[in-house]
Amino acid sequence: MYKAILAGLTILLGSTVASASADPVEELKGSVTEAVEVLYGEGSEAKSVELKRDEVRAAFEKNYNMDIIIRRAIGSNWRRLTEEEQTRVLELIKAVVLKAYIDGMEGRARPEIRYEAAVQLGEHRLEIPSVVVMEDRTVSLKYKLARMQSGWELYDLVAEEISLVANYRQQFDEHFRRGTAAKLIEKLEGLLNHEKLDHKVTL
Amino acid sequence: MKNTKIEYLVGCFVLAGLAAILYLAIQVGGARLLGGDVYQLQAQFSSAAGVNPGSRVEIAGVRVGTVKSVNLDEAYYALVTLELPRSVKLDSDTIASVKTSGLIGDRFIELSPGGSDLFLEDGEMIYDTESALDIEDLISRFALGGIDSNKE
Repeated sequence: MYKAILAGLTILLGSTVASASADPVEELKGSVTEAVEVLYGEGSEAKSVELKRDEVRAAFEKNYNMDIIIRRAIGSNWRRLTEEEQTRVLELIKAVVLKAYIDGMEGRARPEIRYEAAVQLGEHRLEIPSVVVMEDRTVSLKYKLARMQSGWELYDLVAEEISLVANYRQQFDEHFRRGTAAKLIEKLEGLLNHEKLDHKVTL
Repeated sequence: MKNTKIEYLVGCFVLAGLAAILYLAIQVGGARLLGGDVYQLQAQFSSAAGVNPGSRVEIAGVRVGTVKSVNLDEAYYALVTLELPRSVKLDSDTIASVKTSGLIGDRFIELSPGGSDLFLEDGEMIYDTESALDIEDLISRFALGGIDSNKE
């Protein structure tokens, strides 16, 4: 149940990885703390859900290109979309993830995040394992970073050994086996219109 | 004259038999007589248990290649070398997963092609990998409680 919340949460928490950082690990930690502050910091109780969503999104898009992780999740199905559909799908998925994350974390206690030693995989890849302690359970979470032209970017999150990208790619593959891009957009719009999204965000 | 003809036929039969055995050995071993138009990719797994040289490499359930070798790298990850035909072009965000045929079947590598439009070249690495589901680990987590059980 918490994996999907965490998936959404960690996209956003991990999303503010600064692109030109000399130390991507410290940057990640700083960014995660900053994102958590939006939800649990001083004065956060007075903020509306919409405002929190906007602030998290603003913090996120300031430092991180969320398109990377979404495109990776869509995989080869990306080529089935027209340019207009690509833009629309990216925008809708971002909005759905933000909504699921904020709705899912609303009313919960502040999670504690413990980091383990980062593992360098070649010159341009880095894995940062962590443990997220929530009020009723603890989940292992691995941030996968790659050095791209824009700097260090988050390209996948692995919660309890389940890759976010692989998990959602399976769902997109399944959708496109029978469905169309228009149907996908319709589904995503439907999710956005739900009063409240939880962790079970599936296509 | 008659004996020579018989000997010639026997010789041909023996040669045909040897050729058949050689072909069978090559097919079973997953090797090739000639280099062929293939290229190799590497994939790094936290566990490649059950994957061996000769194991299948599939895309959407269709066999497209073979596992060439399985080694341990310096970071103690399993380094699996895949051999694929050049006609199978894979994007850099391809995901390689260790799968099992049925519940207790053979392990093989399933590839999920990406959409980055940056294609992997000969010798390059697939970093996005998923190890096989460890049934024993799942059972022990269920029975003994795992990292999820934070309840006092």
